[in-house]
Amino acid sequence: MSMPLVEAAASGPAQIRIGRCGACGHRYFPFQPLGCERCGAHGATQSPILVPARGSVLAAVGVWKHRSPGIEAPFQVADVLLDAGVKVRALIDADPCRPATLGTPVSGIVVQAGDTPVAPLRFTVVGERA
Amino acid sequence: MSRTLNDLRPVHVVGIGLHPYQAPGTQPYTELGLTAVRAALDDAGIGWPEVETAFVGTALVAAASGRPMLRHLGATGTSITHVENASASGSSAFRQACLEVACGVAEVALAVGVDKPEMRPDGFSRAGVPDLLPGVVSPMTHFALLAQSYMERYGATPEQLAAVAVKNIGNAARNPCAQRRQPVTLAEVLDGKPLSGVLTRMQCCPVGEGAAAVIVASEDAIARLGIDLRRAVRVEASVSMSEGLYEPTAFPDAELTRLAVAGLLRQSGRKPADLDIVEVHDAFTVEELVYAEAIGLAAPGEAARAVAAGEFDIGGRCAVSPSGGLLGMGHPIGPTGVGQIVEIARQLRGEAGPRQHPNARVGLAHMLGLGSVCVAHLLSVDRQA
Repeated sequence: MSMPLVEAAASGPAQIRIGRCGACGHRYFPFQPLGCERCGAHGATQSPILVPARGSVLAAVGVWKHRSPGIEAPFQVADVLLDAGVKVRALIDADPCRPATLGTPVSGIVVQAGDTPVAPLRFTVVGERA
Repeated sequence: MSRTLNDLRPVHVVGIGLHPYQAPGTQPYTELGLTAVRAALDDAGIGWPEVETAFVGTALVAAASGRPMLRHLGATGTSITHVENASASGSSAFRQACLEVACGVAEVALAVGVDKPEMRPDGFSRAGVPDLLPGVVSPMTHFALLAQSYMERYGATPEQLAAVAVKNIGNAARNPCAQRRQPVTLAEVLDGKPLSGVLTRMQCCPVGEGAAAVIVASEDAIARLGIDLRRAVRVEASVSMSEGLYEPTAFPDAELTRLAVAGLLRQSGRKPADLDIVEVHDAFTVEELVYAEAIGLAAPGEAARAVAAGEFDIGGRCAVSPSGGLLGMGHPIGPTGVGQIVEIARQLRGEAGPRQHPNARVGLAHMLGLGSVCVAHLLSVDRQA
């Protein structure tokens, strides 16, 4: 449970730690051994897998008002469908006034986190939508 | 084999009451709740000693809030159960009240929702499961992402989303218990301060305080207590579901709604076209569009056009959120689901005054709670056109 959610890679995109259920094959994020949402298998049947933080945008928005600690508005947040088939919700390092559109390819890097609970992962746009 | 509500003995709403939804203030929750319960008892024409069981829907105000409130009606020893189901707390309280009467455990039951907006941590934040963005994605941003996805998928516009707020706040302006009482124009909605994505302030529900109460009773109790059967509203069906695993591109809350309402309609043998009144979880404008489609009131991507055409207006094909909905009437959390039942009962009785939908006979109440859970009810009257 204490394994980091993301890790830097020697080259290419960051790695995201997803989970895979050994009983039914379901893949999910984040990894946790509490139990598989599809079949209920738990504990050692659940395995962490590192997959590239690379995928395409399902939706992205600029956030203009935000009060919780850890990050100051404005910022851009997105739902990203990883190439590994798992959806994550993360920050996009881009102008909040120009949210990434559906299908835009993105890739994540590990950044300096600072004193914040927000994970040190930022996606950037790496091309045009297919 | 499990049974559904309409397999059991009939349950009727016989009393309704509200404390107006309002901005947070210093009034104790007990005053809010007692106002609503006393109004519901008066509406039913019965006394508190007739109520055998009470379900208190609350998510924020405090633990064990029922007895400190209800004892002021007389310490009759009635059963008190607290129901917490996030935004659907009141809906679940109502469901439990109906089920106890339907099962024969009680003849007369109370569902009361009461809350004051105290911020409490939710289950996800204490689940021990890490998150990339802990505390960053508020409900507003969650639904702004849904709005963006809906607009890109179906070509809907920010103006079409904002039109939902104009309609619902317009309805609320005719509701003396609503938190937002001033109609707004499309320009005023669109020109408001942007909060997240395309959502401006008026496209987000106000979270205030208030209370709502409903008395339900069996037909035996209605006869024994001399309750006016002509004002009774039948609870035809009840569904409670939680989110399943859906495709990554699905709108989870919409998919959950689609499955829950399909079950509700199946229980009652009804079709979407039978619905005269629908109160949905319109906490954010986009929600009314996606849930209207999930319920079957419009084809996918067509709800915005239906709003523009007035089909969801009071007097239209189906009045959606005639109370003002969460956007206009407000979303005090615990009371909201019970308040939907109050509005539907009022409409089906023909007692909704300036916001009466003509010839209303069938109504659907739909709430989602964080998680997500979905609780929906179908109510009807036999009155002929």
